[in-house]
Amino acid sequence: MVASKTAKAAIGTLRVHGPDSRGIVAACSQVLSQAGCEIINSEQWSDHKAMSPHFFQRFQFKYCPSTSSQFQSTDQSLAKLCSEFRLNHELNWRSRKQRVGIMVSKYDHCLWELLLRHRERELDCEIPVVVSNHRHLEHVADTFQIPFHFVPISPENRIEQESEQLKLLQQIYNVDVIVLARYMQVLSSQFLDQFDRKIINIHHSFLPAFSGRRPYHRAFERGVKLIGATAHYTTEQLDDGPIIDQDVIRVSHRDEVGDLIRKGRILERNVLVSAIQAHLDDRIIVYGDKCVVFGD
Amino acid sequence: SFFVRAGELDCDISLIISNHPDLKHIADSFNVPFEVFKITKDTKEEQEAKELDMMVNEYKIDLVILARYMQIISDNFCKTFNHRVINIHHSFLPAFIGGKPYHRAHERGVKLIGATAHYATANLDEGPIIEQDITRISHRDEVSELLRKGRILEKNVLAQAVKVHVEDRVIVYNNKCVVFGD
Repeated sequence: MVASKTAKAAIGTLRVHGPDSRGIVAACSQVLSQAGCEIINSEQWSDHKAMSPHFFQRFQFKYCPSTSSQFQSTDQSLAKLCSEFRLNHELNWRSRKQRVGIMVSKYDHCLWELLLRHRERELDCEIPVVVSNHRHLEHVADTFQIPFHFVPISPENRIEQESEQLKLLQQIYNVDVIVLARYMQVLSSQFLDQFDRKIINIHHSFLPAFSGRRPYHRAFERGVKLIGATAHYTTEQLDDGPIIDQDVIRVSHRDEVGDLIRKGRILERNVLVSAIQAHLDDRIIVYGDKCVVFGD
Repeated sequence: SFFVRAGELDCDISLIISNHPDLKHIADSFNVPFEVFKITKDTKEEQEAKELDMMVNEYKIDLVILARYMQIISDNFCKTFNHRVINIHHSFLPAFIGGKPYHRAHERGVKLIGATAHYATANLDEGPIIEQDITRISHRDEVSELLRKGRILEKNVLAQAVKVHVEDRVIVYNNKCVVFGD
C-alpha cells in the first residue's frame, strides 16, 4: 500500500498598502494564485478622504508548503508588483509561529492572563522568555516553565541594562514581538528602533485621557464615569503610539481608587490579549500614527 | 442640535435662547418661546447680562441646558446658576477638551468616541461630570461618521444627565458628581 503524501495546508497572509489605483486587487490576487495560493479571506479599505487616496488590503490564503523556491519566486513577483504600484507589502508565510517576548515589572495580572491564554491555545505564538526588572514574578514564569531573566534598571545603568535586554530578546531568544505587560520603565529610542512597531504596550487609561503616571488616581480625581485601557504600539512619545484596541468599564461615585484599579485590571487583560491576537493574526496595518485593524 | 423627549423628562422647557435664528422653527413646533441674542466679542458681556436677566427674572429658570451652545459662558453666568448649567461636550472627557474633538479623535486614531454631560464651570470642559458614554469606531469611520455616531451619543447622554438632575439625584462634591439610583 502506498502511503499518500498529502502535504498539510498552511495559511499565510499578505498585507499591502499604498496610493490607491486601479488594478491592485487583481494584480495581487494573480501573483498569489500563480504561486498556488488559494485566497480564503480578503478585506480592503480605501481612505478616500485623504489628500491622495490610500489603499489597504489584507489577504489570507491557503497553500501547500512545497519547496523554498515557491517562497522565493513569490517574494520576487510580489516585490516587483509592489514596486510598480508603489505599495508597501508584508508577506507572511507563517511557516513558524511568532515568538513573543514579555517584559513585566511587579504587577502580575497581565502576565498571568497572557500565559494562561497561551496555555489554552488562544494566543497562537511561542513565548520563549519573560524579562523583568524585578524578581517578584519569577515564580509565575516558572509555573509555565518559561525562562525568566532578571535585568534590574536604575537611572545610572539604564543603557547597559537595555543592551542586556536586547541581547536576550534578539540574540538569545530571537523574539519577533515584545509585549510590555505593565512593564513600568520607559524604553529608550535606541531600544525602540530595534523593534519598530513590534512593541505592544498596555496603558491603564482610555488614551489620550490620563497619559503618563497614575491614571487611575487622576481618573478618580476627575470624577469620570468610565475608565479605560488602551493597547498601542510603543513609540518615542510616551503613550502616544498608534492605538490597536481600547475598551471601557463603568464606574460611579461609590468606586474608590482601589475599585478603579480592580475594575481596570479586567480591562487591561482583555484589551492586551485582543491587541496581541490582532497582531499575531496579521490583521493590523500601521499607517502614520493610527492602526487599520481588519476583521474586528 | 436640540432635543426634547416629551413625557420622559419631568420638567417644563420654558425658554430657548440662541445666538442664531436658525432653530426657531424647532422651538415653534413645540410651542416654546425662542429668543435670539447675537454674540460678538464686543457685545458679549452686555448680551449675557440680558440673557441672565430674562432667565432669572422673567422666566424664573431653574436649570440651563447648553445643548451644543457654542459660546463660552462667563464666570458670572456660572455663579448665577451654580451647578445648574448642564453642558454636553462631544468627547469622552478629559480627552479632547475644547474645539473640534471629533476631528482630533479621528487624527489620534482612537477606537472609541464619547460624549460627556457635566455642570459648566468657569474652566472650559472641566466641571463635575454627570454622565458619559462611548461608542465603538474603526479605521473605516471618517469624521462625518464620527459626527453621526457622536450625535446619537450626545443626545442620550444629555437627556440622561438632565433626567438625573431634575429627579434630584445629583450631589456635587469636590468637583465630582455623586449620582444616586444608577
